[in-house]
Amino acid sequence: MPQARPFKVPALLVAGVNWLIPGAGYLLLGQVARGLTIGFTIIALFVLGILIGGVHVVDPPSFAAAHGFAEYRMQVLMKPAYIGQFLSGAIGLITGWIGPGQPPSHARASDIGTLYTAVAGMLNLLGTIDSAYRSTFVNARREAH
Amino acid sequence: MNPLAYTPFVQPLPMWGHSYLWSLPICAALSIVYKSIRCHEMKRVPREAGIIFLTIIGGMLLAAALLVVLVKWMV
Repeated sequence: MPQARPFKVPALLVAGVNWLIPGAGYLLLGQVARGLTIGFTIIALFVLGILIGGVHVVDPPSFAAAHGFAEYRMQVLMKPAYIGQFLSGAIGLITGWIGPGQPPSHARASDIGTLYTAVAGMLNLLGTIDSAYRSTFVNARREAH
Repeated sequence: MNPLAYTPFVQPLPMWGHSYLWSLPICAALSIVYKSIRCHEMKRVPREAGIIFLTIIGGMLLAAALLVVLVKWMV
C-alpha cells in the first residue's frame, strides 16, 4: 500500500547530499536498499580505480597561474578526467587534494585507474539526477524498494 | 617494479598482462547502478543487472571477433 512520505525533501538538497556522498540522496528519501546499492557500487568502483592506478590518477587542474575565464577553461580541458572524478563527491575532492603529492602513475594502470574513477563520478551524476527527480514525487507509489 | 615494494593506493598495481579483464568490474558496476535506477522494485535488480552485464560482455566479444575477422581479411 503506497504511503505518503512524512516530509518533503527539497530536490536541490537531495541532489547536493547525493553528490557529496553517493547514494545518500536516496537514503534521505527513505529508499535504503537503492541508496546502499548505488552508493556502495560507486564508492567501490572509485576505490578500485585508485587501487589500480594509485591515488595520483585523481589529478585536479591547477588554477594558480590562470587568469581569466579562457585560461580557467583551458586548465579544466587539459585534465578532462577530473570532471568525472569531481562528480564522485567528497571522495573525489579528498583524493584530488592528496593525489598530486603522491608518486605518479603511468601506462596502462594509470589509464584503467583514471577510467574507473571518472566512470564512478559519471554514475554518481546519474544517481544524483535520479534521486532529485524522485524527491519530486508526492507519495511513495513509485519508490518501491 | 619489485612487487614486494608495492604500496596499495600509493603506487600503481603491478600488472602482468590480461588487463582486458579489468573491463569486467566496470561493466558490473555500470549494470548494477543503471538497473538500480531503472528498476521499480529493487528485488528485480540482480536479475536485470546480470542480463545487461552479459549483454555488454557479449556485445564487446562480438565486436572484438568482427574486428579480428576484418583485420585478417584486410592484411
